[in-house]
Parts: sequence; structure tokens; C-alpha cells
Amino acid sequence: MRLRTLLLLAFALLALLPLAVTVPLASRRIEETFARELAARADAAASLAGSELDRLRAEVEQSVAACAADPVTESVALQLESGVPPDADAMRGVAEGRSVTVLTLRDAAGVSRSSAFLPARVGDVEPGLAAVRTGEPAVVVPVEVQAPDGVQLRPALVAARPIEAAHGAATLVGGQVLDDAWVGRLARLTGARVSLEGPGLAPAAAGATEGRTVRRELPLGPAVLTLAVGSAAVDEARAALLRALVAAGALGLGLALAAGVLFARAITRPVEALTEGVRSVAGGALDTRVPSAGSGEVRVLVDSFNRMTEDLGHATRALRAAEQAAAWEGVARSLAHELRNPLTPLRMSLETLLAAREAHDPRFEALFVESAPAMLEEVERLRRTIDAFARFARLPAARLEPLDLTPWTEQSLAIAGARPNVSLCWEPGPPLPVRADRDQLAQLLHNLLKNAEEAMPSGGQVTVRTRADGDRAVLEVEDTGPGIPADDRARVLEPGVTTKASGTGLGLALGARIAQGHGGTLEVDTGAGGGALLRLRIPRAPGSGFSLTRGPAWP
Amino acid sequence: MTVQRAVAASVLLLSTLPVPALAAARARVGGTLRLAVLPEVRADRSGDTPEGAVMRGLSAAPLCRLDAAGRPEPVLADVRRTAEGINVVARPGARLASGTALGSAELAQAWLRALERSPVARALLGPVRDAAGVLDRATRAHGTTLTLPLVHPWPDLEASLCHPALTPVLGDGAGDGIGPYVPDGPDRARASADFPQGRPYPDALALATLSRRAAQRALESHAAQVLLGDGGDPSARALYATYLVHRPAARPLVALLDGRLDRTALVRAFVGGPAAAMPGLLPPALGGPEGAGGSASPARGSGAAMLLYLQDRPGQRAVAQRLQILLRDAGVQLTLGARSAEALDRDWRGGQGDLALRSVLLPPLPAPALAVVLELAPDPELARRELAALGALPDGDARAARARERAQQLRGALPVVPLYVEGLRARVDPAMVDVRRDGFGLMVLDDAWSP
Repeated sequence: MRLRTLLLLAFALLALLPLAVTVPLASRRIEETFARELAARADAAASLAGSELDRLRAEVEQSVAACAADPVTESVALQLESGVPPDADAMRGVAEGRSVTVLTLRDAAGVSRSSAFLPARVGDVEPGLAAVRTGEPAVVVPVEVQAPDGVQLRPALVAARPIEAAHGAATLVGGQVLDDAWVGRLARLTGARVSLEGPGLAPAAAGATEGRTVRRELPLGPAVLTLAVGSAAVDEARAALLRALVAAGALGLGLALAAGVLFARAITRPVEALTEGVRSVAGGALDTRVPSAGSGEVRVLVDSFNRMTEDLGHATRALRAAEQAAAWEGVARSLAHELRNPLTPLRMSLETLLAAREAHDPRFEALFVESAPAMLEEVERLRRTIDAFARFARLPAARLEPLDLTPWTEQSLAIAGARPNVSLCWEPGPPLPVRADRDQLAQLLHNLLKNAEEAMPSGGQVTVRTRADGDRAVLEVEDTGPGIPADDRARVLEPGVTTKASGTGLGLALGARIAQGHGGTLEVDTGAGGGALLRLRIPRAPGSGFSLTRGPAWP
Repeated sequence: MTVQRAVAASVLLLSTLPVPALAAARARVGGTLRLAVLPEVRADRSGDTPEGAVMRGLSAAPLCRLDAAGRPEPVLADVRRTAEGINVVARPGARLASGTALGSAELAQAWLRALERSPVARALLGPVRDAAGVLDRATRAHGTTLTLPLVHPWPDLEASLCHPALTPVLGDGAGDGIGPYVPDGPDRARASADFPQGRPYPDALALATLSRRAAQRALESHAAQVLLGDGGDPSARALYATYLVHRPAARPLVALLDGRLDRTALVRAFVGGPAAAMPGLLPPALGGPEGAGGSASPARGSGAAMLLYLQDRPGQRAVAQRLQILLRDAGVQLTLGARSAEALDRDWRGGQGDLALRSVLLPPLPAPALAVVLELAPDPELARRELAALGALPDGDARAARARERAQQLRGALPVVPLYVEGLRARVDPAMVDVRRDGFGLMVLDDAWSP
């Protein structure tokens, strides 16, 4: 993982750590605070509902007393006393005038004689209302009420008051049904979800709650009034607080990351420059210098690196000079050896001819005719040797241009030709765009093919192939000869070193120089069949800006 | 010619003049007959209730009127018996309010409509062979005679045709009929000089729809001469009978209900007005048994049912709610479904509801009344058999006695539970003159006038 990434992660971790610690703590504290608030709201709602019931109780008692004193009520009661049955709903007008939803006139036996809310019960003892005692405070009892889908049992807050004019023969029972409308009013008043339920009673509910709820229950005779306060508002406030915390955390994290980026950049830029510099040096660019930036240890490190590369440059140049000197020594040694070999027979032939001529030897003519061709041959041999060394010495800098190594090789092989007892096998690889000097590359291929042919005096097969190997283009020439001994492989690329009886030992050395001039290498290896395998590796051209066409196939 | 002869000739001439001429000849023509009606009466434009029938009769009279003894008196048509059945012949000059002369086609058209909506009409025309087919063919015929072939002898057919349910009216509601008054706006009518029985004494008729208290005050202050929908004469004939009909599956419910039902208390507390308990299929006015109280039964049931009732009959709503309470005490949840008269008939015949309160104005003769009761029970074969047996009795008294006997015998066999019977709820200004009652106990205001 890169240093810059590590630094960024460290900064992010530093920013997140306080959040991870503080947010749960703050959240729990907020939770506790709001839970207390929720409980307080539920208590307030219950208290409000109790007050509303007290108010309604007083209102019911007052309304029923007023209804009992109403002239219509008195006339109905007197009609009852006289034995004439009153209308079943004669009390309806009285009830509507006093805003009571339950109003029944009952006789001394408790039988309903006129009902404003359920005339169908006239003639019966209403079970719920029968329990209501005259003169006592209003109580909650179950009463039957007419509903669209039938008669329902509902709780009602009712009181019983005597009708004075009836002299005890009739009592008025009235009050308020605690129905959906009342429950709805209570829900609006308390802001809670209110439900009124009891065994056999039609349930009534109003209001809504969301989230967790806190309940308070008030027993109301046969029913239970439940008030539920929802935590939606509390949850919303809590969520808002948490959102604010998270937003602050995110802001902190963003700032930390930004600071981390800047800081990491300041730290890693000299390091990255150093890394790049090391890469350049590793690539051979010994004159690489890293701009002196940063401070402290990093600056010391950069300066040390620059000094080190400077020293390395000096050492490398010295080494190269020594190597060149050693190479030239080898060349000179080889050249001396190559020149000495023909010179000795040449001198001996000339001395023989001179001695024969001074001695007026009659065989002079025959000796001259015999020795002259041999001497010319030696001279020619000297010339070839000198030409080879001249070519090796005059190798110019490569003029690189784009070419595709695979079709180029194929075209080159087509015109190269081979000895009759040597067969060429061409194994083309994929298109391999490279930058190369066509002439030098042709020289190299020629040398490799020639080396292979010379390694197989009695014939064989030469296999030429191209392939890709990562960012390198590879050209291989493999023969079926005896191969190169392992001890000689490191040396055969040096000038003047050869494993053959004849040869200058410059062909592969020249190839190695050409490969080096293309930024590549020439490697010596052993093929699958035990023969020599010479492998050229040169860089592939990145993003070839040219197109190449494949040449004709090798016959 | 002496003066005496001339006077005698004039009297003879006047006696031969048609009825309108006689009406026009009456003295002291003029004024307005003012009726106060309760909203529920006004809603009964089809004249199914006694009050609705009286109100509608002012602009759409029945074919004939029954006197108190049950004898028909022709109003719009004469009925002649033939070997195959009867011929109904429209009287000359009988013209609908629209001006169309009453003929066999108009009569058939009106009765076809009545067959669709009224169980009473279906019952009364029950003895007619293929009544719907005969009437349908008659709507395309011309002439004034409508021939009705009978399935079996039915001596009471002439009297049955006087029922308000068979009043010839075209169109819905009050519609286009023939009465002593011709509609002249939503709340007014003018005297009709073309009414076959002569024009009424007042020039006009004014209707006011008022609440019960307002209507009572209007009558007491002489702002109205007649009040329809409140009060009533308990001694008048009560033929508007209410039955609880039920599906066969609901018989256990009815058994529960019958055991808990006190008809007398029901009438006293919830029906009110000129009403009486009706324990038998025929009302007391037709010789049925008198009401008797019931006793609370401890039997209980369970389940749920639906009761259909007439929405425009306040007493019926109260009774329905009482039945609901009684069944609730027995453990049964009863849902109430309010319907108009026409919707109730249609929905009940269409299979809706488990129970229904059916109110019908019974004919004042036991045999046709039993026919109406049988029509409420969905058993056409039983009805045909019973009516054929009754029709075979030519003597009216014997037929009535047999009808009462059969009604008593069928009491528990039919899915029809009798509840109560009501009379006409009406009050008349004591100053009014010539207010008669017909065989149905309905008020006839054709000749009413105020000095």
C-alpha cells in the first residue's frame, strides 16, 4: 500500500475515532432525555383526560338536573302518572336542547318509559342504567345505543335525578355517551392516541401514534381509557440531533482528509521523487538528480541520494572505462592473434622464396607458383579480419523508427535464404510494435542466422520466432546444433570470443551491442532440442502510433 | 204547460243530466280546500299508505269506491261480469289530467306498472289468467273495454278493483290520473270539471307539508281543514296491516321473536295512532282475532340477520328498532336496512334480507285480504289453491267465513307473522261537511266543503 494511502487512512481513522466514541454516548444521553420527556407527556395527557372527565361529569350532572326540571319532562312524567303512555321518544326534544346523548325517563320500577336515545328500549329495564342511583355523582356505565350496523354497547357518563313533579314516580337518567366523537375530542385535546375499550363494549379510538409509545390507563367503570403518546416527535428531534452530529463528523472527516492529503503530499512528494530517481538510476540514468525539497530527514535523504548517484556515476564511468580498456585489450589480443596466425606462414613462405632466389635455386619458379596463392589467401584473411574489426568499431548510434518486429522478421527471412542442408522454420508471434534501426536489426538477424548455420556444418534446422513477453518484444533464433557450453555462454557475447574453429568472435558481440543500442539485451540460452538459442529482447513501443501490415508468409 | 208541469219537466231534465252538470249545478261553489300533510305522507306519492292513498285520491281516483258495506260504486269504469271473466269498461268522459281519454290501453299500462311494484296489485289481479300477458297485449289495443279472463271463479274481483293499488295512474308517483282535482303546481291543484262524479265544491286544493306540531297548529287555527299523518279515529276501520315476513332459514329467529313480542305493548309504545295488535293473519276489522300480550321467553339464539323496513314510515322504523332490541336480548345481531316501498318490494323479491316488515292496505273483504297475505308468502301454488277454493263459494258470507277460518289455520304455516294494523291517521276540521269514509276506512274528500 502506498505511503500516501497509508497516511490518508491514518488521518481518516484519527477523525473517525472521536466520532465513534462520542456519537453513541451522545445518542444514549439524548435517548434518556427524550424518554423522560415522553413519559412526562403521557402523564400530562392522562392528567388532562382526568380533568376533562371531571368537567364532563359536572356538566352531565348539571344538564340532567336541568332536564329533570324541564316542563316537557314534567308533562311526560305526569302523563306517565296518569296512566297514558307517553310517546317513546317524547324526551328527544329535551335531550337535544341540553346536549345530552343519553336521556331516559324511568318509572319507579326502573322501567324505561320514554327514551331520547333508544326508544326501542321503552318498556324494558335497561341493565346499565338500572345501576345508576338517584342523586349520586355521575358514573360510567354501559348503555345500548343505536348505530348504523345495529345496537352497540358503549360506555356513558350518566347521572340520575328525580323529577320533582312526579313525586317519586319517575326518575330521569341522562348523560353523555363516551363515543367516537368524545374520544376524538379527547385525542385532539391531549395530542395522544386515545382508545376506550371494555368487555362487550364497542371499541372507540382516535388519534395516531408513531414510533414507540408510552401508555397510561384510566379505569372508567366497565371500560378502560388508554392514552398512548408516540415517540415520533421525539424520534424526529433525536434523529435531527444525530444528523447534526454525523454532519459535524463528516465535516471533520472531510477536513481531516483534506489536511491528510496536503500533509501526505508534502511528505511523500520527495519520497516519490526519490523512488522515481532510484528507478531512473536502476534504468541506467546515472545522471538522475532529485530536486532538493522538503526539510529535515527527508532533505538529508534526498541530498544523500543525489550524492550517491553522483558517486555512482563516477564509479560507473570509471568502470565503463576500465571495461572498455579491458575490451580493447581483448580486441587487441584477438586482433594480434588473428593477425599473427596468417603472418607466420606468410613470413615463412616469403623467407623460403627469398632464400631460393638468393641461392638461384631452380625450384624458385615452382616454389613461387606454389606459395603465391597461399600467401594471397593469408593476405585476404588478414583483410577480412581487419574489416570485421572495422565494422565492430564503426557501429553507429541506432536510428530508431517504428516497425512491427513480426512482419519485419518474416520479410527479412524471405530474402535471407539458407544453406541447402539447413531448413528454416518461421513461427510468427503477434504484432510487436517496436522502435528499431532497420539496418542494424538486419545485421543482427543476419549474424544470428549465420551463427546458427555455422553451428550446424552438417545441416539441421533453424527456428526463428517472435513473441511478446510483458513490455518486451522477443526475437529468438534456435538451431539444432551442439549448443553452447554453459561455461562459454557468459563469454560468447564478448568481442573475439568464439567456440568455432574459424571466426572472428565478433558476430555475437556486435549483436549484443546492437541490442544494447536498442535498449535491449541479447541472451544466450539452450533450446528445447539442446541447440543454441539466442534471444533478442527489446522494448515494445507503447501505444503504437502507426499501423503495420503483415508481410507474405514464409514458404 | 203549467208552471207545475214546467218545474216538473225541469227537475226531470236536471235528473237526466250527466254528473258534472249536476256538480256544476250545486250551490256555493268556491274556496280552497287546504290540506296539511306530514313529510312522510308527502313522500308516499304512490299511495301505498292510507294517508298517501287519500292524498293521491284527490288527483287520481280509483276505478270504483267501496261503500261501508263493501259494495262497489263505479267512479271511472263499469265492471261487467261475463262467462269467461269480467269486462272493465271505462266510463265516457273519463280523461286523464294530461287530456288522454281513459281506455283499455291506459288501464292496462297502469296495472302493468302496479304489478311490478305492488304486492297488493299482484294479489288482487291474481285470479286473472296470465294477468301480465293479458295486460301487455291490451296496451297495444284500442277501445274502452278491458277483458280479464279468470283462472277460477272469483266473486270479489269487482270489489278488489276498487283498491287504491289499482288506481289507473300513468307515470311514477302521483302521475297522470283522473281525480276531482287536477295538479296545478307542486302544492296546488284546481277543481276538475271533467271528473266523472262531478267537480268538487272548492275551486282549488292547497297542500302544505308541515311538521307534526306545525300541522296540528294549522288545523287548530283553521289554517288547514284536513291534516294527514296525525291523529285518527280509533273506531274507523283499520286495514293497513304490517307483517313480519321471513325467509325459511330465518324461522328460528322468528320463533325467538314471537316468544318475546308483546303486540299490544308494541302498538302502544312504538306505533301509536289508530292502531291495534294483530295476532292473526286478518285484522280484527275483518274478523281476525283481537290482540293479546306476549310473555318474555328465555330462549336464546345467536348469529346475525338483516331486517328490511319502510324508511318513510316512522312507526315502522321504531318497530324495527324494537325488534332489533328484542333479538339482541335473545343473542342475535340484527342489522336494519331502510328502503322505499318500491325498493323494499324489489329487494325482498330479489333475495335481500332475512326479515322484512311489509305493510299493505288490505281490501275490506276477507277473501281478497287473504289473497294479499298469501302474496306476501312466496308460494304461488298455495295461493292458487286457497283462492280457487274460496272463489268456488258463491255466497259472500260463507266465503268470508271460510277466509277467516283459513287465515287462522295458515297462521303458523306461512312465513308471514302478523304484527299490527293501523287505520287512517287524519284529522278534519269539525266544521267540514260531507267528509265520508269508504270501505277501506279512507277519507273521501270529493264532496267535502266548509260552510
